[in-house]
Amino acid sequence: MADNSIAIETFNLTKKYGSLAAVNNLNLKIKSGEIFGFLGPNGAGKTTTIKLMTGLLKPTAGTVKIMGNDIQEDPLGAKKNFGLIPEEPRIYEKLTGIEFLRFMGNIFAMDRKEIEGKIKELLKVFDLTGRGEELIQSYSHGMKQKMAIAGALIHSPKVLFFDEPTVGLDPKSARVIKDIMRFRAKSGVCIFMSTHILEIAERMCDRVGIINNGELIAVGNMDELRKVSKEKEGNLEEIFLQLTGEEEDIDIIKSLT
Amino acid sequence: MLSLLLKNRLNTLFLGYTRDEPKKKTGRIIGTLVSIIIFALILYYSARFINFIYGRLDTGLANTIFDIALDYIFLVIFIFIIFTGIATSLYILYLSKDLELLLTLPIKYRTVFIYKYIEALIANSYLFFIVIMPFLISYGITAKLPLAYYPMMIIVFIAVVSIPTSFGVLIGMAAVRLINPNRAKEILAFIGGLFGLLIWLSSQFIARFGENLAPQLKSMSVEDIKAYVTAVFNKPFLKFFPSTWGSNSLFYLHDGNYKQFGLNFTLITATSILLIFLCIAISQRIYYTGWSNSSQVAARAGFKSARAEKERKIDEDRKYGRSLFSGVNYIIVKDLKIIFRDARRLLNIFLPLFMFTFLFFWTFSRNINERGDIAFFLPLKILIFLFFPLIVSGFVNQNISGNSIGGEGLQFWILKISPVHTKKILRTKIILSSILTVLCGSIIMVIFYFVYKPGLGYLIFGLILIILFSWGDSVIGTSIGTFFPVFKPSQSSNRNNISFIGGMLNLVLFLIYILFFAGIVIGILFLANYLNWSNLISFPIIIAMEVILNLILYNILINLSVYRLNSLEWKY
Repeated sequence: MADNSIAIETFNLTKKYGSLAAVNNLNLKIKSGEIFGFLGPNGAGKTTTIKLMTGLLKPTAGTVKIMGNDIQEDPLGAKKNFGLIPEEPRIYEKLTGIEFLRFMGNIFAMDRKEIEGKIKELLKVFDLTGRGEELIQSYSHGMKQKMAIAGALIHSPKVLFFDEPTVGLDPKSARVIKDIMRFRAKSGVCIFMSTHILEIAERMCDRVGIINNGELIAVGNMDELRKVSKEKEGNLEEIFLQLTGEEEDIDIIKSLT
Repeated sequence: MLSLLLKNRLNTLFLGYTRDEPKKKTGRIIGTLVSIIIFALILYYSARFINFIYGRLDTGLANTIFDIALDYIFLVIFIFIIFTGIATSLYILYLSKDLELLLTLPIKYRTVFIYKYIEALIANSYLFFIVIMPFLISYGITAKLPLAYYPMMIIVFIAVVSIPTSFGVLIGMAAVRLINPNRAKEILAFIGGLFGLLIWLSSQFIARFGENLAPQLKSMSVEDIKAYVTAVFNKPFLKFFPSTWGSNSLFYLHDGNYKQFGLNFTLITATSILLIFLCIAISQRIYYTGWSNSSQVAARAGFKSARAEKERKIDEDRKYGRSLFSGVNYIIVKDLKIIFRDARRLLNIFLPLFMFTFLFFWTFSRNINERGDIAFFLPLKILIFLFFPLIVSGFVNQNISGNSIGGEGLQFWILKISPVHTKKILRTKIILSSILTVLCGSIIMVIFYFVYKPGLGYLIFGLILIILFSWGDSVIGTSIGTFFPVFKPSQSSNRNNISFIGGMLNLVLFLIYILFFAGIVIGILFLANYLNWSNLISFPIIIAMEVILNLILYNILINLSVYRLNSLEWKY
């Protein structure tokens, strides 16, 4: 059930490393039930933004609120409400899949009965039912990624951060992730997704934000993005390349060949 | 809620002195004044009596008399309360006026029971308190006993009266399962009457016995009297009575026999605590069965359904494992699983244990004589027994606590985004490293125990020292680990969890800590040797000082570590 409450809000969010601004004055408001795509070239500040939003990094200036809780002022209140799926599935390799999920359920203070129920459900959804008792170190990259996602979903968060969600996943798993995102968004969960795969963003996201050199250069739905770019009829790829100035690079490459 | 009920009860008592009807108020004030006067008179005359006995009689005989007298005084209290306790508990647990109100309030039945138990305990013992306490105080004053005697005296008194109270409560609760509480009260009143008659007959017999005995005693020598008194009164069955454990604890404390005091004191307090817990546990099953009037019956129905729900939850808890290590404490489970699946880390942790055990058996003589070549204030074997395992624990701890946070490696982000207070995370890490360190230290201490045989007291003391040392050292190591963790992807987190500087600092602080820790132990033991303190005095002082040292360390270092960990960024 989608509602209009603000799930993620950033106000003048800034992260500087010396003189370099990795993220500069980022202002965003993302509603519950919304799928928000966060796009940008390599090094634009996408992962840094997610880390700032989830409290892994401290902002140089500005604030982040998750479901109304300031991540710096009330970290526990904010952290209860979100799940994070990082780009690299760095999870405890010496635990079995079930043990890892049990661990995640416990640190989110879930009831034991609920944890066991969720574990069964998640293993089934991610096609890992027969592999839950194996050590994570024996999993393939894709299976580890699925396990990381299952770990983030176990406590049914109200906000989900995906950093490149489909990297390393087989088509079936990628489809499962996309279905989960859609299903969760319909039930009111806010999805914040950074991705390089523009087709996914175009097809799935309600709104898209484009960041370049730490600055948010455009935000809105497809129609709104077309208005701010020169590509009045173009798809997201063309809009993205136009807004990030990478069309010029393509022209240079063409002239070289 | 319990404290609120007790506070309310005290308030009611106090209001009885100030706002009750004038007649009742006057009666209460006079009653209290009379009690105070009786207390003072017994205090004065018992002090004179004890002085008289010790002044006129041979000390050995006086001691025998007081040993037996205390046994019998406590025995009388004990038996008396068992009988009166059943009637009192019946009245207080089932027939008191406030019970109906209590059962309609949103209070747990267990709380109601504990509150009623305390009421029964006070009702059973306040009279004895007024009569026996002044005698026991005089016993302490006349012998110029240390201040520690008086709190011990109160604990022993409470333990002695709580045991028959518990019996009374248990019998009372069992009785109302068969008979209506009102009828049970009548039956018990009849039994009580018979008991009173028995006491009266006994007193007649003892009076005649005393009349016949007096002329015989005059013609006997001190040793004969001592032997006679012992033969008459020191019955073998007495030592199995809990009341005798209570009287013996005070007698041996008075006598300076701390070993016997410790044994008897432990027996009486442990029995008392066990019975109280038994009452509370059983009350959950049978307390409600005696509720007989309409509101009590309604409460019983509610209680039964609440209990059924609770039992269902317990079944579920059993099915889904123990709750002690759920929630944030599951971090301990997770870390233990990870450590025990990592052969290299496991070897790192347990290597000092194997190494030092080998080193010990290779270098130290097992035939160290009592004081060694150097005249230490303590046998050398005791010093080795106490401190060598601490050093082993410290080296084991170097490989655990320092790496607690560092060992999270690149998975640190999981804890960083978890909705758990950083202090709680650090606490779980400290518990984990303390568990492993205590395990290793205890293993080597138990080995040493069989080599040097220093006595059970030293083993218990040594194990407590290991627990305290492991706790303190884990606090230091974990804190250092938060300041110098290694998370770099280029540097395998398995190989290098704590940075080189962190490792060195951890070692230096461990050495400083062991100096402080051992300094307290040696300093107090030296002082105890100089002042002729027994181990029962010096050991608790050492433990208390080590706890204080650890609490200071914990509060300073953990708060710094929380600050550090909160500001630590996960960049990689």
